Amino acid sequence: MRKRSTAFPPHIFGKNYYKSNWDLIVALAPAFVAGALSYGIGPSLLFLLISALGAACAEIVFSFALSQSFSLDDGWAISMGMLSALVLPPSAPLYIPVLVAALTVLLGKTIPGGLGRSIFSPLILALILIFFIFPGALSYSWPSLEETGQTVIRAKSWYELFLLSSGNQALGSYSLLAILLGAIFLALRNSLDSAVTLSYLLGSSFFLLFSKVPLPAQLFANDSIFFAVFLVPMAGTTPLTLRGKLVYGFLGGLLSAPLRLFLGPVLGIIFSLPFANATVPLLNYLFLPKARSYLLQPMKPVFRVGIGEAITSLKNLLLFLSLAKSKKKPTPEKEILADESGEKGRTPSPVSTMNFQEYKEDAAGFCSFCTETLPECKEFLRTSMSKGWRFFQAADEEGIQGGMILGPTAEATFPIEGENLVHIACLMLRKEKRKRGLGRSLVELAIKVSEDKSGICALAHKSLIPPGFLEHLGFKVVAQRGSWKLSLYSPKGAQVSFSPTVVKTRERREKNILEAILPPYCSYLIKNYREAIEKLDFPEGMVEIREHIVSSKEGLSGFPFWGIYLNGKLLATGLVEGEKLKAKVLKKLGE
Amino acid sequence: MLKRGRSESRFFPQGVWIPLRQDATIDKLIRPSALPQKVCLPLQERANTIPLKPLVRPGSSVKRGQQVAAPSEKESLPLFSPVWGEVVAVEKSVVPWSAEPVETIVIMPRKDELLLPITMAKTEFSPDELRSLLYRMGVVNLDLELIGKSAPLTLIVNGCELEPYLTSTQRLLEEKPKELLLGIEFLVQAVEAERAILVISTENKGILEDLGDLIFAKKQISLEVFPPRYPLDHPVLIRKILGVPEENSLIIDLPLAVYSHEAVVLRQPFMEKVVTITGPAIRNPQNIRVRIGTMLEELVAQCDGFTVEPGMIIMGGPLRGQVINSLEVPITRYSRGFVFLPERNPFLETSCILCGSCIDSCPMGLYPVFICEAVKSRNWKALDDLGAENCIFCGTCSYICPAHIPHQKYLKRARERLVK
Repeated sequence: MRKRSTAFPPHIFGKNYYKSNWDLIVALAPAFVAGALSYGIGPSLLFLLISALGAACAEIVFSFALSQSFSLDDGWAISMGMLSALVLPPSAPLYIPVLVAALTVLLGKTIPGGLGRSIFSPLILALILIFFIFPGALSYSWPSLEETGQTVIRAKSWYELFLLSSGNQALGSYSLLAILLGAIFLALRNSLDSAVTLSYLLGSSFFLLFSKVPLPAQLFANDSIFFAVFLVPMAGTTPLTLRGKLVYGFLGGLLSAPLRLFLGPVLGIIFSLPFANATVPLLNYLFLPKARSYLLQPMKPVFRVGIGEAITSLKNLLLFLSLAKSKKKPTPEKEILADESGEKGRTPSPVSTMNFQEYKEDAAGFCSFCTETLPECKEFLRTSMSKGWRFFQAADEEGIQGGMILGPTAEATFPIEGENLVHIACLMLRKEKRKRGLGRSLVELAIKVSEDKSGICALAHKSLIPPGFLEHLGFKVVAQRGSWKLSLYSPKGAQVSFSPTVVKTRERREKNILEAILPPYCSYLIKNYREAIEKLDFPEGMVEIREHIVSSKEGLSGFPFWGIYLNGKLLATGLVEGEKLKAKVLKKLGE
Repeated sequence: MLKRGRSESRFFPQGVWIPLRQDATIDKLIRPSALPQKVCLPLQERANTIPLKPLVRPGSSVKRGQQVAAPSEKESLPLFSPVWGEVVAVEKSVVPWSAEPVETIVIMPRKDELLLPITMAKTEFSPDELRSLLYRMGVVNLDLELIGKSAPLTLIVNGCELEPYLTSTQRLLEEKPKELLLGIEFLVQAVEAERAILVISTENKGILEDLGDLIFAKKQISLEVFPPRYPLDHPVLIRKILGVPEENSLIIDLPLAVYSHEAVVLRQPFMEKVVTITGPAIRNPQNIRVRIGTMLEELVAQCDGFTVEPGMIIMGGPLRGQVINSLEVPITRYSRGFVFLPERNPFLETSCILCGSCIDSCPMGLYPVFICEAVKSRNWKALDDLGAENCIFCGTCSYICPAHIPHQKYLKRARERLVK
């Protein structure tokens, strides 16, 4: 039996990152040979080998230490070892290139957990670190800009300029010709990011405006070309698009100008590169093609989302800080306790001035104190009043400050099973009247009103009720499902059960699939909806779920209530938590 | 007199120059194939299509050009026996394009081949007659193609062949230019198109001059020469570069134009096809005109076998084709060529080095690297914003990626997710 192949097309490939690393190693060879010829073959070879070995060993050791898998075959560590030997003066102590190479591997591969993830060019970072740790070992041997310029100017012929320059400098930048050979090799192998290199050279030639050193001295300064070819276009630290790369190179060259003036050519480049690297995210943002595609609808820019998130998180931070401040104040339960004992000299409770009354007029007017009452809301209230629910209001001279709705348990958000019980369906207070015992008085009123019943239960979402509020009034938490809490107050010892979340297997088989899949409070919503639809004799139209009553700006504690609308008209209300569930319910309604 | 391609096509910034590697077969004439030893006609010729109904039983004898299977719906095309012979079996066999075994008609050819007499009763056709003739001859179902199209209609004949190694289209263009132009005229007549554009991507000046001379005589056909930059052979990009909206254009592959000429003039049903058997592992690469149903094994034998054991056999081109593991594959209507590469792809996926090549090269202007990241992190919401549904699966991003990230795998997953 033949198996189907699972290889994904394409089956041939263009370039390879491994290849470009090995190319880099080959391209560095002429520069090294030129350096070795002028400085001395033995010491330079030792300098190079020990650095490359150091990098390889560092990769193996760090990988073992962090139990990562190491991959020397990509050639990255060895090429970095060679580069770190070539950017350093060969007169430096031998431990310096080894340290630079090891730090490069650590910063470029081990810590980010792979290549291409470091924001700053790792070799440059390593050089900066070493510069600060061993200032003497590096700085004395690097020539100043005047010196480099003089070397170039003093060259009697082009031959001298290109072949070997004298002086104590970085091992790789003895001969301009050798560096250019390496660059040509890289370009031919398609491994050179020539956009970055050329724009960097162009940018750095702007230095001309600030210094007395003539242009050829700057353009043909070996160090500048060495860095522009081998170090500036390092993969992963450049922008993603061609235009971005051009701007990046130009900016990098421009930034290096003032630093080169003060620090000397090599140090100037080294210290300016991290600044250029830091602009990469911005350049990516600016130069990523936005809906370049002609066939597409205009696309949302990817990074704008990031900015929006940043603003939200900033808001959240401010909110958190303000909360942290307000936490120093006493918590609500303690207030209630203090209110009860009356020991602490608080401001006189406004509860005494409140008058509580049952509301028996048009249900639509019940929520008149809410500025954002929706027409659907009124309709809902009207239907529930007609079913025999009881409405209570708390008012003072300023107006209505809160309300409470009592209903039968069977009509609760979740079906609650229990005999002769009352359910607090709704309890709402104006924000500025909270934490003053008003809610407590309302609940006490509910207890008083329903003395003939066997008890009162309250089913509430955790987020809507302060912790411990009901417990202090003698309620006991009977059941808890997810973020929903059922509390019961019953001096007569009534029994209540609230467990429809777990449907037994047998029941599930008998029940509609819909009701088994969705949480029970949704099935309640759908039941309502079906009844309504049957009454209307199955009309046609678009069914949608909308948020029914939202937490208003006035600060009323709201229901996470949802309504099912047919052609924009409310049919049924109930609870649906979360977008996913909403989609599920809608899907089921469609069936 | 030659109309060159528009400037836009020559400066198309996206895509990638891929070495075409066509040297082995580009100058070889199309060779007729020998009589096959066995003909296998799968009744499902492509993935996700409705299987055909067999019209023959084991034991019945068939003529060359006799219809052996009929489409159950108008969506697929009838199938013809390419040989005189006897039906041995109608059995299930494994094919690479379907996960389940597919019902296949197996025909044993007779040695003595007779030619069917050609009847040329009629030479003038109305568009409806032409369309039904082309459908009955099994070349192309124009009624299906015309759904959702409106006048003024432009017929675009796609003669670009930008997948490396494959040369069958270009050979047809070179060897049968007159037949091709006649075929295009028939197609124009059949769909009542206002004009026809022949799109080619060749660099052979001889062909261009010949074609230019031929086309000069035909007023409604114009020639566009695209640069050989992958993936300009994709219908979406062709439409975009020519500036023709989708509802006013109909894209037909170049070989079909040639075959429709044969169907109309010679009344020859669609039962032969030019296929390229090529690749470094083949000793004598060829363009062969094969009978549909011939096994790949026999074709390889006709090309003098392998130089080395092939590590990878690709059905179709190396950029969009499918890897197959066996030579027991019958040639179907949709075969374009088979590429035999000596080695499997040696590269492994490494982490992204943020080089940006995929973004620069994507012809649809997408961000393949971000789509892959979104799929990897299961951030399905982001897929909409990234326009992942617009991917045309050309494979440019995977080709160009230096880290060998299999973008196609993730893009396919994204597409599956979006379809849900």
